[in-house]
Amino acid sequence: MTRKTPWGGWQWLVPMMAFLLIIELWPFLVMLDQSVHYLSYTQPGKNGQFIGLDNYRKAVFDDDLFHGVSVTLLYMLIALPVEFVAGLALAVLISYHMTLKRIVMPLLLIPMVLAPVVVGLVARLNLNPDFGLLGIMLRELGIAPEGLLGTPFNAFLTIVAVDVWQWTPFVTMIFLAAIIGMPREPYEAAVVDGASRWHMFRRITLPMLQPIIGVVLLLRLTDAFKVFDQVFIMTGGGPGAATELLTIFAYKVNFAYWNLGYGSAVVALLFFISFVMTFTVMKLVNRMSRGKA
Amino acid sequence: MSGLSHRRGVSRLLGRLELVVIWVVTAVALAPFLWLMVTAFKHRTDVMSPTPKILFSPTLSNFHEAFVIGPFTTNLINSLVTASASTLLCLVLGLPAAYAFSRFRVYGEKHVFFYVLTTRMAPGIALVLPLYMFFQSIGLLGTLTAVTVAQTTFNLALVVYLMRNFFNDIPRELDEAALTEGAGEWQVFTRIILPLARPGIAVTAMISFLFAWNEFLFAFMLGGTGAQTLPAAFPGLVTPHGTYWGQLAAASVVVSIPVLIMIWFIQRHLTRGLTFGAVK
Repeated sequence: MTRKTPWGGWQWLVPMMAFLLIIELWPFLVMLDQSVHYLSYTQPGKNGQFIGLDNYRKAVFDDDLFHGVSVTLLYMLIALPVEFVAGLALAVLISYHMTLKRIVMPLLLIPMVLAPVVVGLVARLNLNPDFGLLGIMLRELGIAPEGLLGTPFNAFLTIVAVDVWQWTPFVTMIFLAAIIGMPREPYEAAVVDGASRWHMFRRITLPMLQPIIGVVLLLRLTDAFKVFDQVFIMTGGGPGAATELLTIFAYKVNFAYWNLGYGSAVVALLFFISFVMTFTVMKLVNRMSRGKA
Repeated sequence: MSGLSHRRGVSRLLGRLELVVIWVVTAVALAPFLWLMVTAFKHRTDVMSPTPKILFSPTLSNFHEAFVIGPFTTNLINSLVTASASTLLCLVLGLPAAYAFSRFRVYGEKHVFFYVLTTRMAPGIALVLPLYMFFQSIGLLGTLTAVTVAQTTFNLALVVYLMRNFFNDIPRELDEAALTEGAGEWQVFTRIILPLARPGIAVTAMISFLFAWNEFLFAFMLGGTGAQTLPAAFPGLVTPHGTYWGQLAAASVVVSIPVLIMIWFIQRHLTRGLTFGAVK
């Protein structure tokens, strides 16, 4: 049990809270203040002028922002289910061959722990149509001779595929850990009854994985929402704006067009979305751990 | 009888097939990265060869160009300094907080915790814009301090969350016994809990170092040219005139080595670390 302490334990939090207030809360408030002012290099004369919620109104009706939202949603909508199904299948397969786990898992995890810029570079190198391992193969097959990152549609599918390549092992890792932690009795009983492996998966494994499934989905959701580095290196949002995720759009508004007033409003909206997602994750994780206790 | 042995034969075949699938997936996961690693040791003509060269005469010229002639050694040092310093800062700020969350009924615990977590879940760009303006206003843009402090923001939540879990694993009877012997809370923390939590601290420090080491956007935006880390130097070699594949591959090898070494040590804890303790 936790014990009582004077000042509700806050003296232990002072260093951390001081840091968070100065480095995070204060700059965040400054940014919010900036989001209700005009600040851009296109019309310096107007800089500093108070414009109320104009920036937010502009954001809501901004076609480019809407495009960014669509790209991000579509990205998650394709990548997450694929990662989910493939990751689960792989976890179950490896659980049948536990002797392999010690060798295979660390190797599988490599794409996931690499620096995202290295991941982007790996993709660019391998997909290069002139000398990339995969690019040459595809060109020989007559697919995308101009390179997969060359056309909008292919480029979008490619960044999704790279996400799948990088993060499927993450799903596998969590599901495998969960499967290993399961009680053995139901399986032993099922074997005695002569149940098939598919049956055991449907009737035992899947129901017992249920609490974890929500956690995995939401963790992947928040992470996929954050994706920036590897896409920035691979395409920079192009060709055109085919791979311009919401994060890349926010980057461009601020650090390519230096539209800092409007950009602050965009970032505030991004923050709000991730705040809501975090809240949901926490709720789910809490419910799960309470269910276990 | 023959039916049974037939079934056994089928299941053995199925088992073999599963092994093949697992190894093929592993190969697909690794091959693209290995290709980049191999590229780092190739001469320019071999890198650009239109028929993939598996056999080639290895060279260290790319490393020489990138780290001896080029500026990558400075970037490497910047990476080491910022990743170590931010890890240290995270521990100094996060360990007492994690201890309090583990041992005391902290007033407003849920809200503080949620706030700390939000900073981990928010996209990098949402954190980097306020920090960019903040560091600009106090004249620290383009310094190692800015990069270090910025990298601390997203690792602090991780340190607090992980260390609370590790502290929870240490039986509370130990500190209560010491308290009845007349020790103060601070003594319990420094003399009993911290030494016992050493393995946990090592794991936490490694994970936090890895995240900072791999980090791109903060270092790229806040480090400028004065405090450019290794990952932040990558876009500079992808130019409109062409990509310096050899040097980039060499830099990738150097960036990836610590990552590959550490993953062997923290493998067991990675699940916990990357899921915020949701899965042990």
